[in-house]
Amino acid sequence: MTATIRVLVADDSQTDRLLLSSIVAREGHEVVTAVDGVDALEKFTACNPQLVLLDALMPGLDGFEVARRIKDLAREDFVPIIFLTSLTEADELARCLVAGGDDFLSKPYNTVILRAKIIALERMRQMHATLQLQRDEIALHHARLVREQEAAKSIFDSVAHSGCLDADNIRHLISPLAIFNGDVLLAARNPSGNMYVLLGDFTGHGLTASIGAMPLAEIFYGMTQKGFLIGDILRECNRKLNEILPVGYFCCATAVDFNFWKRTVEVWNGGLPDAYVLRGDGRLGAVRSRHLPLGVVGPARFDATVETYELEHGDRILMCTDGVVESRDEQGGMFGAERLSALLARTSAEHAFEVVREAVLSHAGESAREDDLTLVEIAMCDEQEVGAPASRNETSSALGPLDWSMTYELGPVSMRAFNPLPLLQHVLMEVPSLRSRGGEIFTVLSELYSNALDHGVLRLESTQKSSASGFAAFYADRGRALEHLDGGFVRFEITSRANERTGELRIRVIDSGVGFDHVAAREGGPSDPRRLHGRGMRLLDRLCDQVTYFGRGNDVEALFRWSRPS
Amino acid sequence: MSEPLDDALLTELREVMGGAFATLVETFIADGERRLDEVACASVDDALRRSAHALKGASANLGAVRLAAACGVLESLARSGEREGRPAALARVQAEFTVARDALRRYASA
Repeated sequence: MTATIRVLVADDSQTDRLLLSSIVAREGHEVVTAVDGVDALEKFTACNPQLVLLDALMPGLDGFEVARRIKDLAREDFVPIIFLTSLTEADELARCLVAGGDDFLSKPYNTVILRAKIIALERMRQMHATLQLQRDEIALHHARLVREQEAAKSIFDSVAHSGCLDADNIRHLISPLAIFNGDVLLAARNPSGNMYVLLGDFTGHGLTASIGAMPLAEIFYGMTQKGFLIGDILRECNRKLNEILPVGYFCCATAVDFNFWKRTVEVWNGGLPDAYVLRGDGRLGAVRSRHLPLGVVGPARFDATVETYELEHGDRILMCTDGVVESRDEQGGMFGAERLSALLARTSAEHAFEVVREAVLSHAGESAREDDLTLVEIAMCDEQEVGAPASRNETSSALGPLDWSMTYELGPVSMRAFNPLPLLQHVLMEVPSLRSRGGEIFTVLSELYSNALDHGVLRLESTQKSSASGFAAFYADRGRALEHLDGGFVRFEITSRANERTGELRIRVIDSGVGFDHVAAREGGPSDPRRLHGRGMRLLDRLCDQVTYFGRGNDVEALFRWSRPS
Repeated sequence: MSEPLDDALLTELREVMGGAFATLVETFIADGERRLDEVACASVDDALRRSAHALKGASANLGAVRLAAACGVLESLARSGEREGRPAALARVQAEFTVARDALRRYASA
């Protein structure tokens, strides 16, 4: 026996109505009767029955029309209709079902069959009601999920696609509609004005993919601002992701460090498709992935070795996530790495980004909206074209520490694995009047330290760097020499002197090396502007108020003078 | 000729209806007389068909199988537009109604 339901019996024959009402009532259900079609619709609206027994042929509004209207009135609710009929022809019975009937009952009525039909249809009705309840619940959940995702996306976007991405030398394409596609594009300037760009592609999609973006961005921006090298930043990103991401989750990434002063770029590629070096003279270079993605291995096995390229003004680096090479057209054909490199080979560096962008978008068509494809291009230019990093514009009225000095000497163990520059920069930036020249000071610190370490302590030949292939060899030698370093030192002697209006900062760097012929280097430098190793000295001259080389050249002092605005 | 009433069906009907069985029978008779008037006066094929159809359904429900069959013949004549044979079919319905009515009353009072 089913639960009690309300049944509407609509039949113009009084006999049939009486008989049917009795049968239904005897089953324990509540009966409402209607004597014709119009009455049936009125009773339906007034009484809200859960089942309708409807005579097919009635004067006025017939059963077929009543069924159609009842289905309209019921809207999404399922109110089963059983047609009562002594019709016997197949097409007339079919008409009952087409009009919205769910079943029919032939005369003479069979009590057993009617009971079975009521049970079956009531079961169906309850199932439908449950389904609808669940559907509404799902719709509600879905709406909430979408709202949350939208909120999260706006947070994600401000974290994951941020920094100085709007700089004039950066062009990028981020698939606009994909929520949390797992692609991350970060760009920032370090204190000396270098531009760091990190393109990352987290495995998977959705929240899991995006959660790693938060610490990644925080480390990237924090360490960039403090003046860490790109390698240090990658190492820290890898350590953090390795620690927090579940096994099997990681972040493929390409990172670049653009030095506008030296016209060099350092590239690290861990797991992303080839990055491309696009040159004004048409030469095309590919930077293969030579490393494991971020987060895969522990700190001990992580390799942050970068490749260094010398760029001319207008040369570019193009990087993309695998959504670009793997984007599929309607037939499922992939865009492919070959197509990308062929396209780049016949396109000028200047137009490469637009051409690739258009080609990929037209290849992927509509599906580009769902794919996680990110494409970014960074051009080498003069620093003036991209402006100074924001951190340099800070000014302060406080005087801060003005008369102090410090000596900071690094031995071989420290030099092997530690970068002292962020710490020194931090100390120097405690002097408010120096902050506006923070970038220059940092650049000078970096230049002095790398000269002292590379050419002084490690005794590497700077002439090696005059060819692009020598560059790579130079860095390989440097790595080996550092690893085996067991003696020597680099000493910083920093002195700040000032009165209330003017002041000076002296940064003296002394190393244990044999020094170099600074007089000859100074004279020879400007005559050969292509010589990379001469660039360092000219850079110092340009940024400092005075540069003095002492003794045999292993002892250099850079002087900055400042005065407070009156 | 077969029995006018389906005994098995009526037995079940009486059980289902209980005390209201006699009312059901009287309702059927009153209803049937009205339908018979409609059938006799019908000037349009469609009206004849509908009335014959309705009477057929009610008769079948009351187990008046011969009356239901006679109504069925009249209904299909009306549907086909066939006029010949219609007076005989009508007379047959009227006759079967009288038989069924009397038999039902006897059954109800038994």
